[in-house]
Amino acid sequence: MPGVMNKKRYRVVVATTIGPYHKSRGLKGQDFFAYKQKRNKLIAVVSDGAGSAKYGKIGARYVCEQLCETLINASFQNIKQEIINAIEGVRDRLMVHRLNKQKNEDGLINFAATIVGLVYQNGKGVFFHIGDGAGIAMFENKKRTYTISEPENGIFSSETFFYTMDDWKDSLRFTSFENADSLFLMTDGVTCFALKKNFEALEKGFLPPIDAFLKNEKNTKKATRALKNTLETPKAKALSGDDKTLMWVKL
Amino acid sequence: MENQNNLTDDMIPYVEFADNANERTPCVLVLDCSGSMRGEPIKQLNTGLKALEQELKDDIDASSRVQILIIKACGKEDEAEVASDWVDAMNFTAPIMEAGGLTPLGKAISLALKKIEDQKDLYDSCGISSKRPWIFLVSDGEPTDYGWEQAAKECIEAQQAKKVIVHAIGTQGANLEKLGKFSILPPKRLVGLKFTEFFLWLSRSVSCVSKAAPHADDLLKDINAWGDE
Repeated sequence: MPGVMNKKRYRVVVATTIGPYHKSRGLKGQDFFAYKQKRNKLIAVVSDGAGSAKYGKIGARYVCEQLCETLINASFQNIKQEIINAIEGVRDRLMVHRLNKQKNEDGLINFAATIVGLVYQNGKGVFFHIGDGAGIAMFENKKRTYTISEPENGIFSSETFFYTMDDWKDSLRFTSFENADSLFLMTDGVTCFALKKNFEALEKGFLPPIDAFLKNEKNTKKATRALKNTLETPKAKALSGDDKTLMWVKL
Repeated sequence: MENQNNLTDDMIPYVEFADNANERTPCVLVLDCSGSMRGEPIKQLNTGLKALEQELKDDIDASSRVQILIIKACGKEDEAEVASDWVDAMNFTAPIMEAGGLTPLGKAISLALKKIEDQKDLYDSCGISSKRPWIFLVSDGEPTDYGWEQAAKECIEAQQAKKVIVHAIGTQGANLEKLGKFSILPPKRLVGLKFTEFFLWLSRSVSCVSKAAPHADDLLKDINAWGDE
């Protein structure tokens, strides 16, 4: 899926690749992303559909598209409740989805997917997050500080949390930030080499050079191709067999 | 000159990939080495374990990611003991198993669950991530130890709490109904004495899981090489 450098206020570059695990089996990728901006507000979401879920890709696509559509018109004053309401709205729609044979909450597990999203407006932003993947706000200062919305796994690394779970509200996390310079959203195929092992710090050699490059590269196609190629290097594939989605936003 | 420009355009310079993937995939074999395994069965079991050792060592990814523990259920006193303690596959040497005694599968599975819990604590204290452990329970008979039903119940509870995945495998003559009490998954039948085929399949499966994306589908579907159920 090609990335798009938006003509409005915020520049967005995004790349997604199918991991070698899915590719070798002739399967489609399970990641999805969407973003929308209106006046000075930006909504962006990336999602990783669970490979074990029959319609994980649909669950990922649905939540990305629906949250962008809903939240772009939401009030930032009460944004956390607006986000909860929007996710509930996605779940309600999936309960009557034609592929949800049970037509109730039990059928949602077939659409299992994670959420890493952000709402940004007038210098203030908030990440909302269920499961693994990560959101990062980078600040332009001498120390090059950053804020991370960290991945959350179960007791084992291969297990995480989804918005389709009954107790999804227990897993929903918010991380606020102000006056950031640029943002990253990513699925878990990227976090293993973008973040240190404890997920509390960045690997200096990965996101900072990408941030610097994308700030300077004004050509949309070149920026997107370079980002995609970087995610498809043999080293990246060897380190993670999963699908990889990385979105960058210049505020 | 044009090529150089293309190369520069196509890649983001100065990006480094940190290798944080020291994740482990723990795998436990609980093996029935009771008296009924004497002769050709124990010989085939040992041949199969040797094949497992070689296959894992030949797999670059599995050799560093998979960890093996072998527990044997045998002995006059209905004992369960560690035949080979936790070790990375690259350092695994197949133990030579001997047959004798009864079939204390309850004690063996309890020991396996305890060893898994201890190993998870060790992973956590070292900052090592891990996938959900597998236990393969292989028997040619049925449990003979007192209280095996309670051990089986605890084993089921551990699976329901998503702490472990248990596969029960019975050779010809094994009581699959009783072996099935240890797992929430249906027990499988090993055809003849195809231990080597089973262990080669096991090696490839565990290797596949060690490299698989999170939430991957069940990888243990194709058992045609060794099983008939």
